[in-house]
Amino acid sequence: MVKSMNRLLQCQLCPKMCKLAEGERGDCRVRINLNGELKTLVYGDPCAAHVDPIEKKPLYHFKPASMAFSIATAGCNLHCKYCQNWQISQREPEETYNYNMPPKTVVVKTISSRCISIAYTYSEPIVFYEYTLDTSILAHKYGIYNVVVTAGYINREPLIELCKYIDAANVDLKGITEKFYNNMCDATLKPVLEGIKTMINQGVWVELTNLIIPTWNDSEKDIRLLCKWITDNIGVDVPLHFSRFWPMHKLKNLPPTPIETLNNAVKIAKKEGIHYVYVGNVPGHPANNTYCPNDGKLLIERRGYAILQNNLKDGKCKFCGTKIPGIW
Amino acid sequence: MINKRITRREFLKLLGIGIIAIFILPFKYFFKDEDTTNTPIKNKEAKYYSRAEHLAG
Repeated sequence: MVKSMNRLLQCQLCPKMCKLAEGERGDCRVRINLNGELKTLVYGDPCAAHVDPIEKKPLYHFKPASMAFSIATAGCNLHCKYCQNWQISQREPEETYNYNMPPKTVVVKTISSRCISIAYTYSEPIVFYEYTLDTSILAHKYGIYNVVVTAGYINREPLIELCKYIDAANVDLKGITEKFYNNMCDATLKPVLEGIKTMINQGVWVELTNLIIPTWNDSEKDIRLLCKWITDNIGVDVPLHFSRFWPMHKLKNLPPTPIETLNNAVKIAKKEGIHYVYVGNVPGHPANNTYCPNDGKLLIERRGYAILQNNLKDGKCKFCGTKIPGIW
Repeated sequence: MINKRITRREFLKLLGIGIIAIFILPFKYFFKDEDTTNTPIKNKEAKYYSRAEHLAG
């Protein structure tokens, strides 16, 4: 007992700040105290590697129609009841089938797959932090972009270090109340809000996703509060994706989000002044497209993940010349 | 009565297919993939942690 207390350590990567005795793993399942040193169990061992359209992340204002080499390891520091990827996020690395893929191999595969970016996604790139960081540094040396798809639950110092190499991020702003984050995700809200602001201040292109779950975060009040936070803190040009919930994992008792709820959310967001509001998981919805905030013209038409037409020229609306924020 | 005799060319074709099948089929159906689920876990030192001897628990 005394020996294990002498080797007690505290992980400082995320706000959970897990205190770990010898041999103990963090809440994320993939960081462990071994002989008084914190080790990552998933470095170079992704359990998922796939080529995806960038629109799938979703990132709509970042290199449209390009492909991203997407990787993930087991583990996550949140435990969302509705997680779509729970088979890898709520697992230890011994429970997943893992590939041997060190950073250099990731970069080689990205180039050979003709992808222009690497996406650290599916589970939670924060928990495979060292792998994400080292791969990102190498990727930049070869002119490859880095994008993260994350819940944003990370402490400030590691986030600032990572942001030096990240070009774009889709951050899940899952709800706008501490109660939602506590009860649904086993986390807290404030660090996520601070993290979003930090990423933007560090020059990362950020798009937000809010999954609307019936009876949990679908009230008009919640949606309005969320939109107000966005306009007050990070501005009207940050794209917001409202995503449709499908029964999953521990929330199979709830119905899918009604389309009307999503339509209403889009109306509220636009009324609050947000320029770019999208609907996800509803193929063919008009809010899959990008419209000019100035003259309302259709700029980018999407069907699923495919781009049907693109009316941007040098990052501007080709009809009225309004600059459209993003990395084109 | 059906003439079951085949030409030399047809015989060589069948023989070739048989030889290829003998070498390829085992790789596709009989050999299992390398099992990586229980390979030793690689432990790279993580960043952002501190010794916490003074903390309880």
